[in-house]
Amino acid sequence: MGNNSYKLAIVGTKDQILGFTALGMTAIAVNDFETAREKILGLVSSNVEGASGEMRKEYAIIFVMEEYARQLGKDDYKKINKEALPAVIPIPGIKGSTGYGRERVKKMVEQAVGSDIFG
Amino acid sequence: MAKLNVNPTRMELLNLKKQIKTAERGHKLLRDKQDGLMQKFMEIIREARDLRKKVEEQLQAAFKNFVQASAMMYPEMLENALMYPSAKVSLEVETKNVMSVRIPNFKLKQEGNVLNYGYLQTSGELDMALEAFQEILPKLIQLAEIERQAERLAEETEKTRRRVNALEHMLLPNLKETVKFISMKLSEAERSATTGVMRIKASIEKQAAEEAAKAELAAA
Repeated sequence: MGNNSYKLAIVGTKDQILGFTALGMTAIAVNDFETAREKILGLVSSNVEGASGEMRKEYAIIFVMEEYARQLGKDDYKKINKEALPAVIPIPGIKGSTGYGRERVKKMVEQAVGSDIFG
Repeated sequence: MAKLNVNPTRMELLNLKKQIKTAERGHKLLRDKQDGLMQKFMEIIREARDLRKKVEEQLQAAFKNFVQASAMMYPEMLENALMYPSAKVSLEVETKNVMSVRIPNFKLKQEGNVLNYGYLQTSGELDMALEAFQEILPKLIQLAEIERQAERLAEETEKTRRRVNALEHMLLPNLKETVKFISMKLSEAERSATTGVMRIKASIEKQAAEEAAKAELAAA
């Protein structure tokens, strides 16, 4: 391939991702958590050849519906967070926010500071 | 505090003192790094919180539009209209180095038209819903960037904090304790050597005095 542009992907149920398909993202429709997990890990580890011939990640951002992101285990996140890219970002689905995204931000604060200073 | 298991020799003492110096310097450096990371993290995390709130609200509105639009069309037609987009999105990624943490910066590139379908079988609501999605996209990217940065920084901050604590509360006290132990052992040995010499000297002097007295007696 040899270019320097990264792709975007979104994983979620069909009715939720259709809108994003039109924007040109790689949309992957799943119906249950197990397939979602498989697809996400597949996307995370997918490599392509970069501009100067080196291997690099194909995707820069993978949006995941909150309901699936919530179910990913610690080990999965360890695999996901090993490198700087891609970013796996939970976004609320059609039913609205479940609060997971905000919880995640809170957890980061706890991890960095040692306690949740924002309350 | 536990002292280390080493021989109480002068050699060991010198080594340990050198180690303390290095550890102290490392501790200071790491603490500075931690402060730097924390400052940057706080900056980013505040932004992330606000942005996430905004994006989630907007996204919900967009989804609502979309659901309404899709309710007015046959599912097959909706799929047909959307499945083969001419629009393309891609990202340019640059990594920035903050306190030796590599954090990504995204730049969005959009091409083509989102409304890439026949107008006959689709509703006007769909156009609006897609436009809403398109409006959100840059914000979503920004959110992803900021959250990823925050995530990376949080990880590194935690690691650094652990190292600082390990140095401050384990390694340095142990080293200092051991140095104290060795220097006490050494001065104790020195004292005992001095008293030994004094005692020997005293007994030699006593012997010499006795011999001198004996010689005087014999002469007399």
